[in-house]
Amino acid sequence: MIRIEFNKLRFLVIDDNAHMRRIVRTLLHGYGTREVYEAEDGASGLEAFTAYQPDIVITDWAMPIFDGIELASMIRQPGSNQNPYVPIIMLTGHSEKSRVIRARDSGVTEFLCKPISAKALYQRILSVVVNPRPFIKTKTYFGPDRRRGTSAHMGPERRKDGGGAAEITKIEPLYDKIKSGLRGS
Amino acid sequence: MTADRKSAKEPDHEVIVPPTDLRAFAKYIPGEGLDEAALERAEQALQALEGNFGAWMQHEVDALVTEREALRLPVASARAFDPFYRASHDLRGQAATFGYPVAGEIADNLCNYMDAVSLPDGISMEFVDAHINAIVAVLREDVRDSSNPIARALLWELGEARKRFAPSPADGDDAEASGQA
Repeated sequence: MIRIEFNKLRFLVIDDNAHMRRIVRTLLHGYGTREVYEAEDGASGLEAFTAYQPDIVITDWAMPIFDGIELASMIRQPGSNQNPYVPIIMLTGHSEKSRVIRARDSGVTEFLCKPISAKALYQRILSVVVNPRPFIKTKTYFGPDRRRGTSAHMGPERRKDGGGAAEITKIEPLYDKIKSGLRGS
Repeated sequence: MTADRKSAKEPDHEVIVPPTDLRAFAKYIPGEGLDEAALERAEQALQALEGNFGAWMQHEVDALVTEREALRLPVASARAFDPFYRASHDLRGQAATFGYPVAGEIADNLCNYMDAVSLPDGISMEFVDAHINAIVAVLREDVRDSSNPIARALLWELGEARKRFAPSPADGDDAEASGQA
C-alpha cells in the first residue's frame, strides 16, 4: 500500500463556487493536508499559483474572467513561471469525452467528474504523486505525455531532493527515423 | 545536402522528465489497496458538513433563479448567458453531493441543452424555465432521487424534449468521465 504524506503537500484549489471549495478543502484536510490555498477565479488562481507555489493544483473548468482550460494553458508555459510541470487535476461537472480531450490538450494531468467523492479525489491525487508522466514539448503542445501508461522513470534515480534542471531528450520525427532507417538498410 | 533534408532531421518534440518529483511524498507500507484510514477521515469530515447541505442547495437554486431573472431578453450576445450557465453548471455538479441527484440531472439536461443550441437566438427560454421550475419544485417537495415516480417521469420528459430540440454530442458520448486526462 502507498501512503501519501499529505502533511507535506501544498494544494491550490480554484473554483468560483464557495461551497465546492469548502468541500474540497474539507476532504484535503481530512486526508491530512495542512496547506490548502484557495482562489475563486482563473485570474486570482494564477496569482495564487505564483505566490504559493503549490505542489498540486485542483481547478474547476467553468469560471469567470478566464476558465480552467485557459488557466492550465497559462501554467503550461515553459519559462513563464517556476513550475510549469505542476500536476493539474480538473474537477468539473463536464463529463463528455470531447471535454476530456480538450482538457488533456490544454495540459491537464487528471480529469475528475463531479459529483466528488473522497475516494475519487484521493485516487487522482495518488495517481499524480505516484505515477508522474514525462512532459512532451512540441510546437503546439507542452504538457504531460497524453498517451496512457507512460511513466516518468527513465533509468536510475538521480534526483533525490527534487529541484534542479529538467532532463530533456530531443526526439526526431518518427517519419524521418523510419526514412533514414530505410536508407541505411 | 538540401535545406529540406537538413530540416527533416531536426527533432519534432522533446521528452522532458520534470525536475520536481512528488514520489518523495509517497511511502510504501505493508498492506493492499488504498490508505483506508485517510479515506475514512476525509469521509467523516465530509459527513460533518452534511448539516449545511440543505441550506447550500437552497442557495445554489436561488442563485440559478436570480441569474435567470437577470437575463433581460433579447440579449445581445452569447456571453450574456455565462453567469446563468455557470449557475446551472454548479448545480449539475453539486446537487448530488448535497443529496439532490434528481435536481442535478435536471441541471445536467439544461446544460446539455445550452451547449447544443446556438446562443443567444436559438434558445427557447420557455424550455429553460421548465427546467428551473422543475428544480425549484423538487427542492420544495424534497424529492431526492429518481425512485420518486413523478421525478422519473419529469426527467424522462425533459430529456426527450431536449433531444428533440437540440440533440447533443453528450447523447452519444457518455463520459469516460474521470481518469487520466
